[in-house]
Order: sequence, then structure tokens, then C-alpha cells
Amino acid sequence: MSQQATTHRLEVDSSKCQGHGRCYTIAPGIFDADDEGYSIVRVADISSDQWELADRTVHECPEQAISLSGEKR
Amino acid sequence: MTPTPEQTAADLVRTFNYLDPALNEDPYSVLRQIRSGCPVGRSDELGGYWLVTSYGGVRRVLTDPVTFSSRTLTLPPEGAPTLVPETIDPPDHARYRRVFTPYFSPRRIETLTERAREVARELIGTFVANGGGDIIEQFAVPLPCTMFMEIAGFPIADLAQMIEWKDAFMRDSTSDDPARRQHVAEFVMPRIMEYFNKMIDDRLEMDNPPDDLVTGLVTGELTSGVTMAREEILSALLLLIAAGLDTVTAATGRSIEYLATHPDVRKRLVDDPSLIPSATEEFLRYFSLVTNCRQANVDAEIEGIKVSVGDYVTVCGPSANRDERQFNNADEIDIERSPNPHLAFGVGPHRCLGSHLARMEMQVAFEELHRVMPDYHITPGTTPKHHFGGVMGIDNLHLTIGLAPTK
Repeated sequence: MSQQATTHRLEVDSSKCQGHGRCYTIAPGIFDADDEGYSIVRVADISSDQWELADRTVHECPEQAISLSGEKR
Repeated sequence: MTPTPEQTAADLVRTFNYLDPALNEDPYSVLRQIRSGCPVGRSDELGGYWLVTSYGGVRRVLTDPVTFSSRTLTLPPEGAPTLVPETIDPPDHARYRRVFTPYFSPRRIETLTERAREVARELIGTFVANGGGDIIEQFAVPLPCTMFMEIAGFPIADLAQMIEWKDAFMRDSTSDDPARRQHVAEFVMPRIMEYFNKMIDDRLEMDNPPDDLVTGLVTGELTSGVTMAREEILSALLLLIAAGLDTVTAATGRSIEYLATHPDVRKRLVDDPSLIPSATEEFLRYFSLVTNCRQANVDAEIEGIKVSVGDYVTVCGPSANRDERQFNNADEIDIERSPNPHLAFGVGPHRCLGSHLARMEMQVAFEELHRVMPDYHITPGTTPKHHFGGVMGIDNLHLTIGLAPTK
């Protein structure tokens, strides 16, 4: 029973981010704000237990600036 | 022949004037009908414009500022004010925006939270001591206005005067009554400008001006050695008054009205204040306030509908944020809604500059209000009055402290 410990790549498209701040409010462990309030990815390799929270930020972002590669698990 | 829902919706759009006072109490039923049958439609009102009511359509327009210019933000286009930086298009917009950003960044706003809490506590303390009253006048207006005076660097002694000017400007500059419009243009505006000019002059004369917003606008560089022109600073201060004060009042006030009439939801916030941030996002969605305008720079398409160069395109936030194709049970409040990618602060490069401030003020308002006043209801015999238009609002909300009497 070997379950592959896959990670998922989280990215913010900085050309789309307008600094709404939804991501770093919901998931402060994964994102941070720069001095002007734009999003910075703190953890780009998302583990299985962070997946749901990371995926939520993808859908919360009004600019559709966040992407998460791969499927759950 | 019975008209199809699409024809009926197109007919409703044709005569839709978003400034019509008939929409004040319930804009939602007609917007729902329009959105379902004709989400991008042509109105003959206000000189002619496209009305965009769907979530996707509003995103399409606001995230493409190269195609859709914000130079004319309000209709009719004659007399639409220049409001720096909102009426500036890319690429210049970013240079202007950068001057304002430091004063509204999340970190800066976080440092103001305790002060906002102090102001809120004092106001709500007085409200409770008075045994209730109009929560708009006594709480939802002075909280954001006091914070704005302090951020701008305006003397707090001028608060009442500023509120009076703001009310006259917001209420009367788009009035149907020419006498009211004239009063604003000839009496109120010159006095506001005289006040702003004095604030600017004060900073220019000081060797060490205070670190406030007016100083930032006076000294902030667009490019090396180039600061904003006097006219641009005046326009920016007017925008901050127009966009920053009534909006927080309205969003806070409408939320409190909802909570006054939904004791079950209120109890959840009282029992578990950690729900306040997500409840705030939901109130922002549900009571989205802003309907404003863009102008097509080129021929373009919005959700399959062709618009022509020069056409005005009005995007309706109060409708887009209740689009049932985007939000499940869009016409219901779910204080734990997730995801909630609402467009209450707009979307694209003109995203509300003050959004972090607005959010913080609303959260603090709900926390402090419910800490001392967990139960309240609308005072029997009073009816809250609302308005629609470019910025939706609430004019009064009389509250009595304690649970509503049971029938």
C-alpha cells in the first residue's frame, strides 16, 4: 500500500492579483501580503492536508489569479 | 402573443434608469428579471447605455480596462466628475494609484484597528446610554467619517462640517431638482474645495508635515520629481469622500438592519464572533452597493453581445453579486458562505482602494455593537428608508435595545 506523497503546485498570477487579500486572510499559512497588499505565495508546494484550504482560495479569489495544479490526492 | 422572458427582460432594460427613485426600496426583483433574460442589454435612458447585470459580464468589463475606459464613471456623461485615480486608465493609472496605496495597505490598516475599536466603543456606549435611536446617524456615519478625518489628517473638530458637506454632495449632486444641483455646484463644492486647498497649503508650508494622507498626496511622486497637480489632489480628496464614507455606512447599516430582523443569525455572531469575518464578506456580497460606468474604447463583445466604440457600459454590482449562476441561493444570506468571490469592491485594477479599511471598520462595528448590545430590534412604528442609484444606501434605522416583543 504505497500512497504516493504528491504535492501540488500553487501559483499566483501577479499580473492578475489586485490585492483583494482574500487568500492571505483565509490561508495566512500559505499566503502573505507584500507591503502594498498584493499576494505572495509562502508555500508553493501544497501537501495533501493543505489541499482543501489552498483549493478554497482558488475559488475565493475575485480576480481568478490563483491556480493549483493537479487533482486532489 | 405572450412575450418571451427574454423580450420582457429586454423591454425592462430599455427603460431602466439606475438613478430612478422608484428602485430605492427594492431594486432586486426587477434586476433578477433583467439578469435572467437579458444580462447585457440596451437602455435608452440617461443618454443611452448598455446595462450589464451578470457576474460574468461585470467581470468581463472591469478586468479589461484597456477595452473599457473608466474616464466617465457616471451617467449622464455630461458633468461626470473627474475622480483621480479612478477615472485614469492604464498605463498612467498605476503611477497614481501607487501614491495612495501606502495609506490603505493591509498592514497600515491593521495599525488603525484599535483606534477604530475605541471610536466604535465610544459611539455605541453613547447609543446604549441614550436607550437606542437612529443607529445610522449615531454609529454607522460617525465611525467611518472619524476614521477618515484621522487618516486624511483633517482636524477632528471639523467632523460635523465634513459630514454635512458629504451629505449635500452625495445626495444632491445627482438630484432631479435643478435647485439642489445648483446649490451643490455653487455653494457646497466651492467650500469643500476651499477647505481642501487650505489643508494642502498647510502641508506645503510645513517643514515636517505629519505622516497623513494629505501629505502623501502632496509629496507622493508619480515619476521622479513629479508630484500630482493641485487639481488632481483636489479631485482625489473628493473621490475619497465620495467613495469612502457613505459606502461603509451603507454596508454596515444594511447589515445591522438584517441582523435586527434575523435574531437567529445575530445570536450566532454574538455567541461566536469568529464568524464575523466571513459574515462581513457575505454582507458585502449581499448588500453590494456600487453601479458605475465604463466606455468602450473599441468595438467589443460582452458575453456574446456586441458593443460599439464610444458606447457607455454600466456595470451593476448589486445585481452581479446576486447572480444565481455564480452563487447558490444568491438571494439568501449564508454567513459561512464558501467560496464567496464577490465583487463588492469591484475587480480589476480599480479594485476599491479602501477595501481593507472598509472590511476592518465593518468587522469592528459588528464586534463592538454586539458586545454591548446583543439584542435589538427595529423600533416599532419606524420604517428604515433606503436608496439605490450609483451608490446604494440607507438613510435611517431606528433601533430599540432588547429582543423584539413576541406576538
